[in-house]
This record gives sequence, C-alpha cells and structure tokens, in this order.
Amino acid sequence: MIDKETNVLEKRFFNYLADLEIDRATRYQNFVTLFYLEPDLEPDNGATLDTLAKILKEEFRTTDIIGRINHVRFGVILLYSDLQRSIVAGERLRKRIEDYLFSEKKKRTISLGGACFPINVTNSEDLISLAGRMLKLAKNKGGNTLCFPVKEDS
Amino acid sequence: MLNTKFTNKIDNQWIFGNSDKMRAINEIISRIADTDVPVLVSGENGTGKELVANAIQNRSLRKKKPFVKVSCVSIPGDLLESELFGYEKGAFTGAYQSKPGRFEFAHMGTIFLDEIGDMPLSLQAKLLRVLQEGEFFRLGGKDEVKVDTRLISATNRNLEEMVKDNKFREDLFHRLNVIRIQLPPLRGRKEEIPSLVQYFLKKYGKEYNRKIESISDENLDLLYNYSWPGNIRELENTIKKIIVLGDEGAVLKRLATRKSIEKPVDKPVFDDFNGYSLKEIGKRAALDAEKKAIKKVLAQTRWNRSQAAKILKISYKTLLYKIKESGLDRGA
Repeated sequence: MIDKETNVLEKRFFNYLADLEIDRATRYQNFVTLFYLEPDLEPDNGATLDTLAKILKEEFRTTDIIGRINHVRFGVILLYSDLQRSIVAGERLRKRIEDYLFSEKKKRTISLGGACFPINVTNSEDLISLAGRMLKLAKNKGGNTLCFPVKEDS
Repeated sequence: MLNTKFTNKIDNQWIFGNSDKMRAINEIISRIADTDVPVLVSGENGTGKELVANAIQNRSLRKKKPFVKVSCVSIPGDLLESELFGYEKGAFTGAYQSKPGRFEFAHMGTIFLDEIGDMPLSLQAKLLRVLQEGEFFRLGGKDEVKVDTRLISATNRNLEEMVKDNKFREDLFHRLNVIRIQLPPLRGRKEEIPSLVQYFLKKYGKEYNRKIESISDENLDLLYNYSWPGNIRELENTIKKIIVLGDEGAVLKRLATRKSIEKPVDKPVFDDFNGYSLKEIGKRAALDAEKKAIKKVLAQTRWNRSQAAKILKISYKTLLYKIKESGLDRGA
C-alpha cells in the first residue's frame, strides 16, 4: 500500500482513492483537484525522490492524498480545492522546489499538470487523462512550469 | 450496486409495455434520444417519468457522460438555487468554501429535473438563462460558468395551467416543452395490467424468494378493474404485498373496498385541486371569501370605501390594498 522508497501511497491505492473521492465529491458537491508532477531532470538517486515526497507532505494539507504513480511521477489529490486555489497551491509548490537545496546543494525544478473536478471534467477517467496531458504540456514548455486547463479546453 | 444497475436495465425495457400508447412513446424516445433537444415528461405519480428519463439517457450519445438527477421538490426553494448553481466562498453566512452546482457535474451529460413545477419563480429565470446561453453564475460568483447539458424535466402538475396562473414562467415553459412525452395513467392502458402483474410476480418472487406462479382469473379481474390512482408504482407495491404476505385474496379484498374512493376514469387528471398544496388551497379559499365579503360591503356602501373599511373593521389603506389585490372594480 505504501511505496517503500518514498513513503507515499502506491499507484493502485492512489487511483482507488481518486475514484472514491470523485464519487464523494459528486455526491456531496465538492471540488477535487488532481495534480501530477515530475522532476525535470532524472533524479540521480532515491534520496532526491524521498526529499521531494517529504516536501509534498509538508506543502499540502494532511488530508490531501499523495501517491507515487511511476518511477518519477507523483500524484496529489487536493480535496475541496477549486481551480483557483489549486493553481495557487501548485505555484507555491513549484516555487518552493525551485528554491530548495537538495542534497549536495543541488537545485532542481519540477513540472506540474493538473485538472479540477467538476470545473474541467466530470468523471475520474477524464480527470486522470487531462491531468496527464497537462503535465506533458508543462514539460514540453521547458519544465519548471505549472499547467492547468482553461474551461474552454476541457 | 451491480444489482440495482441490473434491475434498472430490466425496468427500462419494461416501462414500454405492450399497449399502443406505450409503444408510441417508446418510438418517440428512440427517435429523440440521440439529439440534444430538451424533453418534458409529464404524467401522474407512479407512471414512470424517471424511467423515461433513464431510457433517454441510456439511448443518447451522452450515455457515458454524467447523468445528474435533482428533485426540485425535495430541496427547499432557497437551497435549490445553491444546489443547482453552486456558490462562491463568502456568498452568504456559512459559505466557508465554494461549492460547485449540480449543473457543473452534468457538464457534457444530462441533467434531470424532477418535479420542475415546484421550482420557485425566481429560480426559473436563472434556469432559463442556462437553457438559452448555457451559462450561469454561482451564487456570489463573478465568473460565468459555462455548461453543456441536456435537460430532461418531469412534472405531475399541469404546467399550462400554472403558466395561466402566473405560477410558471411562460418562456421557460416553451423552452422545456420542445418535446413533450405525456405518460398515460395506468387506468388508460389497462391492457398492460396482466403482463405487468406477471412481470412483477417474477421479479419480486425471485427477490423475496417466494414463488407465486400466477394470480387467479377472478383476482386478475379485480386488478384489472381497479382504477390505480397510484399507477404502476401502486400495482408494483400491491404485487409485492401479495408475494410477501402470500395471501392474494386478503390483499385484493382490501383493494376492492378501496374502490369506493377511486377517481372516475374520465375525470381530467389535474382538475381536482389543480396541484396546489394544502396551504395554497387554504390561502386561496381565504382570499376568495375576503373578496366576496368586500364586494358585498362595497355594494352596500355604494363604493364608499372609508365607510366600507369601518364596517369591515380594517384600515382604509388595507381595504384599498385588498381591493387592488383581489382585482375588484366598480364595474364588476
């Protein structure tokens, strides 16, 4: 259930909770935002990812859900967070990592892509795929960027 | 979860029974399902309005998109607005965080507004805007929210009458009433009763694990001749009762005694109390009585209003207001 290297949720459980939260949000009329993020450079060791996961845990609320999607990608589910608040939170994270000194005093940057339910999409599959596309867009823009869809794109 | 989905599927096929009326409705649904036109489903309680909405959604191009159901009568008028359109943080006391409206959840999909006749007038204007422009503001919101939804609405009220009484916006009515599906009451399609009985016997026999193969001809006659004011839902529950109690005779005997309160078959559906609530009926009756009294006194005093006010023991101003409200004038 917990990824051993980074101490966050494994992909399977993360996706399960994503589905659950979308159901919950539909029922109780709430916002849910999904972020994907990746370091712009391939991390040279596990310690970098571990540090990244720690920053994520500090930066977001304890009730938000953090998971590891693959070798380098993390996912974050922000509960009760609409598009604007999520963009603020994402930007804050991007800035913090940009300024952070990783081990051996190295600086690193990340790319973030996200989407908000139900503003951008109305089901969990679309949320996952749109957040993925946004992350790709952010990387294509040269990294160290945050990408969110505007309503018309959805 | 799976189970309910399965039964829904059967029910969807089943509302389109073997009468000509229902076959025609089935045909209409098939024809309109893949378009985006608004549909208004009307019919008495228990005729299967929601099932029609489900069927439209299931056969539409939006099948895999969200299907949001909102019952306008189960949510108080003031709350309905925030439920449908959402609100922004700080819009009112207690709005500690923003909330998206039901319409947003139905983006790209279908929204089903049940009992739309119970929607307050003020909200009807806002709904009209969503239908026309596909956009709305959350309560206290600055940014327009754009949505693309198909609207299916249902009501058991007579909307035409409500439009005449200024209880329902005429422009909204025409917007909703693009395709009208009028479900006939069960008493108007009695030929379906035997097959419905068979269907429910089978369905609930399985569900409650009690087998009743069929109902005697004599009792079937009883079922056939009963007027079913609660329509298919009532029939369904009667069969359920028969299966659970295992005594068709007793259940049907009670049904037979209820015949005395049955509605005459050809009486117009909405005529009895125009769909008003008890409170409204009381209010209307009071207004009516007041109007009669005022008219009488005014005739006595030859429209000397200050004298009339004294007789009626109300202030002159109140009398003027009442005269205006009840639409009395000297010529009348």
